[in-house]
Amino acid sequence: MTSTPAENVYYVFRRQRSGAPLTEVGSVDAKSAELAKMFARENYARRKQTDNLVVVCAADMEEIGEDAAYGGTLEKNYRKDEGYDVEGFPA
Amino acid sequence: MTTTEITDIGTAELDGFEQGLAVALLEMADDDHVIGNRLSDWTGVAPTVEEDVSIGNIAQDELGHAEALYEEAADLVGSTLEGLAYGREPSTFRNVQLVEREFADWADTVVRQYFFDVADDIRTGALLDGDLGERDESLAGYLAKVDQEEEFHAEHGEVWLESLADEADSTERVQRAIDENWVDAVAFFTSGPEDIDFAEAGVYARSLDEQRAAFVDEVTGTVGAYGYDVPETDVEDVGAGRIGEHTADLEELLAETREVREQGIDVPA
Repeated sequence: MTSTPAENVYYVFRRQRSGAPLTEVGSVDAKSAELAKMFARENYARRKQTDNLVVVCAADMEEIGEDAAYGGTLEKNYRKDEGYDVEGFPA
Repeated sequence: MTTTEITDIGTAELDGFEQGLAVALLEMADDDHVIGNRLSDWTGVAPTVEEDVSIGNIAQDELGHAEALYEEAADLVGSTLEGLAYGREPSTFRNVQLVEREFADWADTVVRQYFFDVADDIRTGALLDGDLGERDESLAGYLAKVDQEEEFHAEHGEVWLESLADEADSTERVQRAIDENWVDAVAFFTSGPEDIDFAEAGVYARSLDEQRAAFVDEVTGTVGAYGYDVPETDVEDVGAGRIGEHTADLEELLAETREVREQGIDVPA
């Protein structure tokens, strides 16, 4: 089985209520953004309170990759914000 | 074959408005009951897993509308939800043939669901703009919500019509479905044997002829924009479902809906 080409994969993000962060909830396979929005609405908003849904085509997402040395390579634990709620949800 | 006149279905005495409303509600309920069950044919086998959920949701919406509308119609005529949904002969159902026939393919489903939802939206709008708000505020409130769901269903159809328009094979299938279903779609705006003047009775703010014209306009514009053609129609030549003329597909569909009840298992509708 071949995997779906990136231009036909749309990641789905939900904002549960006004002011809450957009949270990735999954993806849909679709040949257009219009179709993706319709699928997202039917598949990800029927059973959860939803203020807004956003779809992003996988082909349009820029990534740094899993190999990058995020936060540097030396021990810098003092920089980490564990325990603080700085982005609207605990780190 | 002809369907039972509305005054012979239940026990209640009805005034002119109520008779018209009862006919309208029963036509709506039968349409929703039949298309909801017919769309369920796609459960598990829709073109993609996402669409499987989508079409299943729409089917459930339609079945929910049918249940509520049968209840309203039953209250009005003096019958029961079960009696109207499961106790009538197929030849007395008032749904259009558009919603009863088995689907030929996905394009056929997209086209028929789209035709139905646009038509249903126009009909519900005409009902809400009539005297219903004064006569039954709670039913009018419910129907306004139903109308919003129908608008979304029509959008679902439009997105699919657009999606299927960019390849030769699918475009050809959609065009074939439009040609084959057009007469049945136009027949949506006919009524049963009572020959009620709905506009005169205050039931619909716009006559069936006016609603049909609005439907033809809307559909011609929308599908035309995606590159499909709508055939010419002689409106004198349509009819069938509303007066009780149906295909064998309806008998099979209704038999399936009655199967559990006929085994003596008492389930809520």
